[in-house]
Amino acid sequence: MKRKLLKQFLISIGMALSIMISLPGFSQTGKITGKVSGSDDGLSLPGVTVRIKGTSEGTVTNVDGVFSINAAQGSTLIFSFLGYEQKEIVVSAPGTLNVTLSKSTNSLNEVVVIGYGTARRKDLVSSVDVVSAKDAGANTSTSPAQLLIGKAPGVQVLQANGVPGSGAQIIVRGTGSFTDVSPLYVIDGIQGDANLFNTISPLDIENITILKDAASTAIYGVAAANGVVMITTKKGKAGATQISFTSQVGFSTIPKKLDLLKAADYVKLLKDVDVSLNQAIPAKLNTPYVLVDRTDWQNEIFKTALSTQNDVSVSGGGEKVTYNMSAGYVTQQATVKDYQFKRFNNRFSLDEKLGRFHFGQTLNLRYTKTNGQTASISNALTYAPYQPIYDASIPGGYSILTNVDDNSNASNPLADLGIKTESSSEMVLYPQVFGEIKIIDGLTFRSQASGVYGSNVSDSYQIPYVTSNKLAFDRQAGRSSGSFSNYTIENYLSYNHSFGKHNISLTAGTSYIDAGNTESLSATGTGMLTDAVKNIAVATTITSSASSGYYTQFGDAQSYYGRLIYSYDDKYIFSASIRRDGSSNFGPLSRYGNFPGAGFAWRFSQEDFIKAALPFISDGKLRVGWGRTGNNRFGLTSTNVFTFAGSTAGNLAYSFGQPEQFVSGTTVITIANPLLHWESTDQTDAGIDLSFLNNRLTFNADYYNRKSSGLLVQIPLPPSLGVGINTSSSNETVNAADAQNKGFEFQLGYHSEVKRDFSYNISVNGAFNKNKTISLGVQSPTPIIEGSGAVETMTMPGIPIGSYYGYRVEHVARDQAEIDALNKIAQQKSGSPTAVYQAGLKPGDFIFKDLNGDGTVDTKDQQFLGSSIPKFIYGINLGATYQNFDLNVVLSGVQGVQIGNNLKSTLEFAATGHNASTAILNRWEKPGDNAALPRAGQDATGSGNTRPSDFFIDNGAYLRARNITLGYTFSKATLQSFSGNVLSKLRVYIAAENLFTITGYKGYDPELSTVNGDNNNHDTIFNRGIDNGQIPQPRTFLFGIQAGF
Amino acid sequence: MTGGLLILSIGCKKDLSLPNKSAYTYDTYFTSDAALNQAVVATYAGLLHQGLWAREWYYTFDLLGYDAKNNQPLVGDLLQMAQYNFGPDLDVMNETWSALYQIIARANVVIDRAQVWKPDPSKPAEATDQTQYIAEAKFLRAYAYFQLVNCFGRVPLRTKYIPLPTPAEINLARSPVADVWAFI
Repeated sequence: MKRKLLKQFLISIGMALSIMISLPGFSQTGKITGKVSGSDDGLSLPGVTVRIKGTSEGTVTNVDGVFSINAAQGSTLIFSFLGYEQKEIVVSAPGTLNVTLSKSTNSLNEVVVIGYGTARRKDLVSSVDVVSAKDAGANTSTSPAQLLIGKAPGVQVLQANGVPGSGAQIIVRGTGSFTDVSPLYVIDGIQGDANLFNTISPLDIENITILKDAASTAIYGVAAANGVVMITTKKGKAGATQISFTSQVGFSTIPKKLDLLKAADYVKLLKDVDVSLNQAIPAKLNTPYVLVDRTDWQNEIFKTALSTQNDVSVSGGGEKVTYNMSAGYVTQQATVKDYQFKRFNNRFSLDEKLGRFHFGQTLNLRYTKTNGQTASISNALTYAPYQPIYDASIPGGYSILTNVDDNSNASNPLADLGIKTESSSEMVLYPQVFGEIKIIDGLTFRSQASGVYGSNVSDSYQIPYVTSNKLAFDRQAGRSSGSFSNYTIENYLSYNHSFGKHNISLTAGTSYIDAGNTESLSATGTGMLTDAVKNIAVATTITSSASSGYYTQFGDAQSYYGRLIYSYDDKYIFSASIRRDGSSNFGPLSRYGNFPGAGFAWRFSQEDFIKAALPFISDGKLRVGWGRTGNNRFGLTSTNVFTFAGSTAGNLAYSFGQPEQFVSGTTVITIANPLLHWESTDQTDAGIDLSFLNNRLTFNADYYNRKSSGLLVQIPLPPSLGVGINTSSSNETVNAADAQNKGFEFQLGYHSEVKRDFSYNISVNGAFNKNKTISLGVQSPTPIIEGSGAVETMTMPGIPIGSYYGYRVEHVARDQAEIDALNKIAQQKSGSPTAVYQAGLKPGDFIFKDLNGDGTVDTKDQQFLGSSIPKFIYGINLGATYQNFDLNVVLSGVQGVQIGNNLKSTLEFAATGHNASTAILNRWEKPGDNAALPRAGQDATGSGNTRPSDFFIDNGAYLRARNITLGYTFSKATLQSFSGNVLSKLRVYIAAENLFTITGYKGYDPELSTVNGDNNNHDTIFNRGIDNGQIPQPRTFLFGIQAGF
Repeated sequence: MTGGLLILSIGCKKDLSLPNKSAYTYDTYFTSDAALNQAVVATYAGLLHQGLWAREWYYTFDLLGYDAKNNQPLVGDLLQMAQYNFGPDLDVMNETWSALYQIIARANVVIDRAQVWKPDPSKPAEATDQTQYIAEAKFLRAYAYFQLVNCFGRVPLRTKYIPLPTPAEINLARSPVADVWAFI
């Protein structure tokens, strides 16, 4: 403290003296030299741009952070550096001028990446969120998507499931497509995709920038209807070589167990089902053997999973060349037996600055290896509790159930783990190169290219085994291998010029994404006699199949783009962009599309009248924007007519000749759409950015309206066209539907001053979104009905995309008298003496509500039941540092969302014999019962009690503590004392992921994804939020060490 | 500057169309004798689709023509036909209509592709085959229209297979009966 005061005193004396000395020599131009260092660690900052305001003269600090420039007294020097706050200092006298720059904390001078360039935050006309990788806390994420959870308003991150290595879906501002809602991923400025996004290790990421509104995304045109996620990776810094090492270990468990029946109740349930279905009760169910609880199946399949992460990075370099190398190794077990995931990441990057040239090369490598498979949770929930795990008398060694003896054919959840062995490995190489030339002052040409090459192999083997109902399987070995490759080339010119108060920035360029290749071959081998060699190589009979295709979902893509940004006096900023895109999957009559965008921003806080009237606003900006973007990720098969040779053997065959032998034919059974083109989204955005208290308190809010049109739907074709086979497959893909997302986002953040070694920051963000299908087109407006099991979704005008739809349950019918009364009302209302209220209704069944009041329950009595698209998503982030401790807390949640609980159709009904939840104890058993659930076994069908209804739709709101990290950094003095000069930094930390979840949902996990666990390849847009027993997100405790050398 | 423009032009590719690597297309497959043979077989195969000779054909004409009468247990759409008590949503009617038009479409495919195909001059059998395939397809197409005009009267007259039809071409109006007979 004292030292600080003394320092301040000396500085002020020094400045006063220098001012006094400089006064006589007021108009002199002199040499200013000095050192620029960072205020957080005091280290020198090389590469800082030092510019004289109002001119184009400038220099750059050298490897020691020292600069030297000739400037006139009274002129202003501007110091700027990516990631730090820009500083302006008036030159008072020639001589030494040492400057400290502070790290930007989401402030206005922060330099932010935008499409094909960078801009200062104060110059943005659009809604941009920057998430620093450090703010995510310590976690076990193997995918960068997890760093974004709860950070940016309007950005929802859904993980595929709890299996390690599974991907995550990022949804920006609601669902605006029927085919693909993934955003565009841009890695270090080059367009990529989700696959490449997942090759980057989270520890290599500096920050992730998300572009949300069309004024900024329109420059990416047809790729950007769902937003743009841009990764900036860590770059080497000139200076001494820095080595850092991170090591982390974690334990994960599934925190929740469902309540299932014990043996006695289970046997009673099975007996009740038999009585309902008029079946004989097998003798085994009357023996004492079945009344013993032998296995708790959930305990058997769940385990405590261990995960480890080790990462090392080396960076450094000189003035001209900098390098950065990082390598990481991650192992993760699944919390469900028996699956192991290992990943090795490597990244080499070089950066060369030679005069007016700037080159960079990066090679990313990812090698993944998986072993084993996860047990099925739904099997564990339905298998009999009296069964042991093993049974030596059954081939394969695992116990089985049979309908004849046990009245059940549920599968042993552990059987697959012991009988089948599976392993796979994948290697992906992702190189990137770029070259920049400063042609003349202010004009730069940049050419960048990236490629990807990957290959994968997987092997499987199964020993001969018998499963439930004595179904026998023979030995089988399998192998499949595949490879993929693709490249992207982009070139653009950028021109920056300031004259007086005007500033112009121009960008123009082209982009080409090649279709790439994917190939795969898979083989199945049978005929082996022993299990001594578990490899397909010894199989005597091998059948194989092959497939070939393109890497991208849109073929080749060729684009041309340009953008102009004009700003006047740093107060009025105008931006306009246009892009012309063509893709192979557009029909020949609509090959190219144009995507314009424009935005305007007014920094009203810089106006004199605002400064006088509202002095407490330190910065304020109003912005509006509009733009058009598109989506071309809908596959390549709808613009060509392909031949068809009969898919089930013999459905396209005719018999000829005397022997009447069947011959197979080939013809075409489809048509193609020549007008097929991109889905397009027009977005309007209006927003405000406010800062108070010297930029310590910030508030951003945005209102947006995203109108998506031309969404792809399959419409049925008139049968007279003659396409299809029998009465199916007669449809065509057309751009017909319209949908809309309207919403409001806000973010409020505060970061305190550093006081007595204590500082904290808090930020809250939230987003409201209203999703609606507006129309399904005029050619054939048939609603799209999808769903899974007892949950049905309906997409039609007026309700959100993929809404839940069905009947409403009244209560369980108590006795026949109640049913007779309802039938009487039905007869009165309809006038027909044989009318019934609900077809097939018996005591013990659900009575459904007559929603339209006509006295009977039929298909017209269905309505909208809820939606899986949340109305409100929010995140709360807290950070604090006190002396050497640091704390980081991330909470995120959703409100206004429903879940389709399809597990209930298994756990609370029994169409056949299987274990169930304890809720089924409250079922109807005899006339007069007031029960919550229908009679066991009776009418447990899709047209009876398990028809789609609000019984299966649950409230899916939750608040989850994503991440809580507490760390301690050893002081330099302590490090010196026990390590000499070896360690320059040492931090230890503990963290908890998903520590607690506040929710009313009774299933395992209210966070249900949209994808089938295969990295966005098959987004089930119409089947969202349906719980089918996916593996839940685990709760994880981690400890780790970070060291710097 | 010019160097930059040169590099810009290298990154341009004019033709964006891509062939499919794991399926044959309409334009490229039917270019040999054997392939056209398969196309004709597929046209015949339409006769065995639902609504035609495999099963429903006999029910339809025997029940409607009083060659057969319904027995007590007969239910569903067949009972409706026996009692002449059916509406436009009768499943069997939809199946027959679809199957007949599938024959017509496939016959159009054969005629279109066979006319474009150039048989190998060194194999005289191919020229005979070409005539044969076109003739068979024309007969099958005429047979289908014969059934359609007799059962339904005015029907859409599809004379060609169009791989990339516009909505106007898809939603073809019904033609007068005389035109259909003339086409047959």
